[in-house]
Amino acid sequence: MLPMNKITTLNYLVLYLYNETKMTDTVLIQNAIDTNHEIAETYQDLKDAKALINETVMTPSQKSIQTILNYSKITAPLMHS
Amino acid sequence: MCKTTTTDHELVSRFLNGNEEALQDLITRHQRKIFTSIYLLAKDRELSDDIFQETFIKVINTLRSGNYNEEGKFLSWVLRIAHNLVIDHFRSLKRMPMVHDTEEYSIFDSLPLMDENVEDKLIHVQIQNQVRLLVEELPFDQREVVIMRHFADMSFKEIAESTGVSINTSLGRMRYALINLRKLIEEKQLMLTK
Repeated sequence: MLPMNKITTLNYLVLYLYNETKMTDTVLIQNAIDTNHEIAETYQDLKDAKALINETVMTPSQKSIQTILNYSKITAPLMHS
Repeated sequence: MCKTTTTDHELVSRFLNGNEEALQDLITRHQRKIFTSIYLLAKDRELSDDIFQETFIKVINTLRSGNYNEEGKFLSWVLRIAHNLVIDHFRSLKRMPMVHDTEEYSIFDSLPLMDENVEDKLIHVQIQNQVRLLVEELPFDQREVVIMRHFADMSFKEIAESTGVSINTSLGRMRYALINLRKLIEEKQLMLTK
């Protein structure tokens, strides 16, 4: 049974969103989303924002990667046979 | 034939045996998460590149000195190093990074070298940029949990242990981060669809 405290329920929504709930809680939360309009709306808002965060991914410059690789080669210990 | 992915552990071993390509593979595998995590804290591209380099130099030196233990995940370990370097940098300046609204961002850094519709790509980059600025506006503790969950792949339990708070606190911070992002999007009336 999910706790009826609102903040705890909202925290469970976050756990569910990130696939960290136990199976029994997953079923309960899914049922709450399906039957409670307010919870469903809140869950959708959280889900939309989560999807956007994945859009923020960036890559370093090729120059910085090459600098790292050059450093590694230059400082590599000598291999002895 | 079943293709298996080489684990980080195996790549580290190969690197320590003199295989420099293994290091390149590790960087290629994790560069986006590590660099994005650094950038979301540092908020400056040039500085983030510098810290990215410093991070991996430290990784290389630590691996070769035999001081890396295999208890934790490689990515989490590297991100901790990066995180500490960012904090050290701003501590030395005695300030935390401010949001730079007019920060230059080279779209050519994100455009792939493919034959795609350029206009669609430019719109996508614009969206990425706008969302990134929104994440940068979040309070530090909320931004930190976003980075740890999205880029370090840490569970909320691990985040709570790492940051010294209860799991409910780390969940609350993520919840506020997501809610605040939604509010910022509405306030700025951003058109985030293509």
